[in-house]
Amino acid sequence: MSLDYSETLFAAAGHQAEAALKAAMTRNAGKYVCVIEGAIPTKDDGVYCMIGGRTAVDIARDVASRAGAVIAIGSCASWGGIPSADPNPTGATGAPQVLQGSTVVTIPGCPPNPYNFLGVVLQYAAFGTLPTLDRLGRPLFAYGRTIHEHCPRRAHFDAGRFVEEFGDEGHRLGYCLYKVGCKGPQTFANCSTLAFGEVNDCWPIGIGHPCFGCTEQSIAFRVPLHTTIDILRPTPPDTYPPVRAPQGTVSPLATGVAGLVTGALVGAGYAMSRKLDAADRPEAKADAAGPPSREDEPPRPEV
Amino acid sequence: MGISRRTALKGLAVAGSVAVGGRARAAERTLPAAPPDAVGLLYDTTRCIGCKACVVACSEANNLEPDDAYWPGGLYQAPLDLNERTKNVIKLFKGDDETPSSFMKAQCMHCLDPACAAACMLGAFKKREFGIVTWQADLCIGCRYCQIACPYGIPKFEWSKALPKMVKCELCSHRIAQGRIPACAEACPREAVIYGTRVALLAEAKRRLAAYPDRYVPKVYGESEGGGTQCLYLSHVPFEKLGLPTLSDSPTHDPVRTLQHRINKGFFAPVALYGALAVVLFRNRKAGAAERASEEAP
Amino acid sequence: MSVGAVPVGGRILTKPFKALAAVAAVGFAVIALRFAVGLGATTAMNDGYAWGLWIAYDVVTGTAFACGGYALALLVYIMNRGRYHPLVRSAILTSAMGYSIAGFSVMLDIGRWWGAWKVPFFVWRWNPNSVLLEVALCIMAYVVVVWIELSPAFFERGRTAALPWVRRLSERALVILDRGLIWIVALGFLLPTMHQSSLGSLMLIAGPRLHPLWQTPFLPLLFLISCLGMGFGAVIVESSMASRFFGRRPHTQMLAGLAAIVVPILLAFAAIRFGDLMARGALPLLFAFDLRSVLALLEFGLVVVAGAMLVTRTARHRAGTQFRAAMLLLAAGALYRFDTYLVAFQPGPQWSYFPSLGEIVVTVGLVAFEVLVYLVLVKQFPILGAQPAPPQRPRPSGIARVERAGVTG
Repeated sequence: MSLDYSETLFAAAGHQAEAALKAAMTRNAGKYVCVIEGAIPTKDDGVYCMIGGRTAVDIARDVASRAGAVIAIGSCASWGGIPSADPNPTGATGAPQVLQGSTVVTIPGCPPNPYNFLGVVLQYAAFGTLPTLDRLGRPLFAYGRTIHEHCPRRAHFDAGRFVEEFGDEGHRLGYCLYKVGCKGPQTFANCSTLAFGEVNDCWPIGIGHPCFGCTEQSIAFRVPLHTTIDILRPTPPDTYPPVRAPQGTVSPLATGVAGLVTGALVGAGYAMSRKLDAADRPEAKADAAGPPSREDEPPRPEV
Repeated sequence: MGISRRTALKGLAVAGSVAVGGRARAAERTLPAAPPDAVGLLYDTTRCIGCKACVVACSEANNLEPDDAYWPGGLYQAPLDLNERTKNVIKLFKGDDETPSSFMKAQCMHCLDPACAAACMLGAFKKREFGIVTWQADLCIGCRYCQIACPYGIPKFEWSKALPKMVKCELCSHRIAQGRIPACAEACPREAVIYGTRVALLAEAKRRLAAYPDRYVPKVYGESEGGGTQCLYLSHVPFEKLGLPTLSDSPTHDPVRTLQHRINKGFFAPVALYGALAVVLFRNRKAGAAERASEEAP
Repeated sequence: MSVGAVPVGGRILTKPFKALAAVAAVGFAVIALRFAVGLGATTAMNDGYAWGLWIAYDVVTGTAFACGGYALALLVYIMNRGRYHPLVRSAILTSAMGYSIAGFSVMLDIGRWWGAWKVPFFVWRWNPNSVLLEVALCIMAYVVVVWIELSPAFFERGRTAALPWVRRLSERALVILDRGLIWIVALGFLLPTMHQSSLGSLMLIAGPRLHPLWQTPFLPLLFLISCLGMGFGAVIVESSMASRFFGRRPHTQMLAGLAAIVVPILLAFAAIRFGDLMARGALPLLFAFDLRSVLALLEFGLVVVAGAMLVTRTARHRAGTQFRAAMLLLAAGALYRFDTYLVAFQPGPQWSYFPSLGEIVVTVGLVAFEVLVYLVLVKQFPILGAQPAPPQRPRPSGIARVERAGVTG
């Protein structure tokens, strides 16, 4: 593998570096791998990143045009990363947006796992092909599943054991971090199965902090770190409902009120009937008859 | 007046007794016929391992929200029962010393003569292609009579929504239309639930009963229950323990249908009653007018 | 025309009126909430008990309470007992209010109420096997019928209105109604016969999910008989209360006649109910003394006591006894309906239901609203029939007569 041009690792600088780039491009036209790292500013005709009088946009387009494969490494190069967070003053975007129309393999992550990058490069070097990509250009072997599906703390999620607050007992015992904002359920990456730097638990969840969705443009640097999100592909836990699960609530307050209403109706009805009883007595009837003149008076409603 | 009253009462008695109906005579009735292309599921409790892949697959295939009914806020996809977010569920019958435990997959039975369709005023629930009982939103007013009618308690209502729907398994008819099979049957890793035509599934069920008589309760549940269903069950524990009701061979809503047919055969009885009433009323009015005339005459 | 019917008159905004209005307002507030957030948040109904208080009371029992118009139509127009005519119009008003509130409650209870207009108009979609369809269509039609039956009261008042076009319209309407009302009255008898019995048939579809103490092919007949009884009972209650609260002489004689009719109805109900239980071998269940058996026994008890109270002629002529017996009979009918729709329904032992506070508040509020409208209409329009003649004054002896004359002057 020959690293023919690298802005950060070259001993050379200035015109020599530029010449080396041009030479490498001519010598290996159509065969070299162009790796883009970092976001590309597009605002104001891309003046915010210029090298040797050319904008990063132009450089990217130029180098990528003659490459055999283009790989965007890191979230910044994949979709804009940190620089693209609001208010995005430089118009930072990822390589696929700048190189419209070409196939760009994206390896998002902040940081990305170097082995994902290595896997793509090795395949291209050995077989001249690229791995199967999703619609965002991410290789499925690394970004085909969500963190949630392979999380080492998944059993705690399924059993309902959650960290409620940082530092609590659940946190000490390594419980699931979903409630403190883990973005694992919507984040496609393989951090849970492929260790960074070959060190186990060298990733957020491994050290007890919720995943922040660094590969996802809609989550990283947009959704607050400790905000809970929806679960993308729910899977059921270890519990089973019984054949006849008790359901339905009976409110004691409503029961009481219903009793009162019924009692009131019964009481009022009985009271009413007693009044009618009183009016029924013969003396009462005689009183009600009264002198003849009263018959012509209009009735006086009580209600 | 004596004559008209007698006529009235006689007419009323006849028309009224027809309208109101007495004992519904359930004559020997042939079972409802399955549509020739009827499809369904066969669930075998002896093969189910309770992995709940079918629950997940159903949830995804039907775009359902996660169901935390078992423990709200505690567990995120733990249905307690079929409900507005769950069209398919695996339940556990916990056995005891005499009866072994068993899983139970619950979903719509797609009856040959569905009570929900008999109940539904405008036919929102209806047996449509392949005998699958589906729900049509524009014909439903949310009266929930189907919930009263279904002997298995399957149709569920979106109680939590201001603009609710009725929710139940529709055998993934949207997938069947694309030439695929219901998601639960596709997902099952042990073919505990399989999909096929009712004829084929019934034959397979009977084959298993004959081949392994010690393994199963000797009955295919759904062959004739309530008139027969398109989702069939084989079990190693009594079906009652799995929550499947013990039903006779005739549909539970048969008595109603008999009654309705008797009353509404061409609306004969109501029209006849109305006619009788009009006659009586006219006679009474004439008699009343004659009485008044005779009173006023000097 | 109801000879002698006059508006009761009097102030509308009395203290009781305002109290009722407050209760009704709270009910309507919860109704608004129901539409905003859905049924799950405001009611306790669930997938097991899909029908709750609003169906069991507002629709099923409420319409039975409103069967006064039906019962009196049978008595006065079919059986030609003209002497009960003064009671008819107020009974029709109670029926109109009861059925209108029942219809409104249905709109509250159904989940997809915006599609309800399709029920009467989508004729090609009608499912002839659906009892509920028949109930819905009959009730919709009957609400129209009963308000038409009541309309002469409004037009009679309109005859003396200030605006001349109102007077003309009222005159014309009364002429049309005089000729055509007979067809409406016939409907006013046919429709309740159909739907009150069908309200019983509704629960037939539950099959084995309705407890055997209530599930019977005789459900429609039992509902029809009990609603007739409840209709007469409601007339007795309403008439007694109207007379009392509006300071009018009670129609005790007429109500005694109704009380007499009620006794054989109660007997028939009890006999058919009991005979049916016996024939189906369900009698042991009646004496199991669990909750359902106790409530069924209570139903019988209320029917028997109500009937026993009205057996003697003297008892029937006492206003207090009439009222108590009528209340018991209404309670019996209401209990029978609550039992059939709620207590007897067995969706499975895992399901529980009791009406929520919201459901109770709405029901009570709607009843209050019903009373409010009754009061307004009765005071403004000629609905309450003519008062009966005053009772014969006992002739006092000579000296007492003179003294009385002196006192009253």
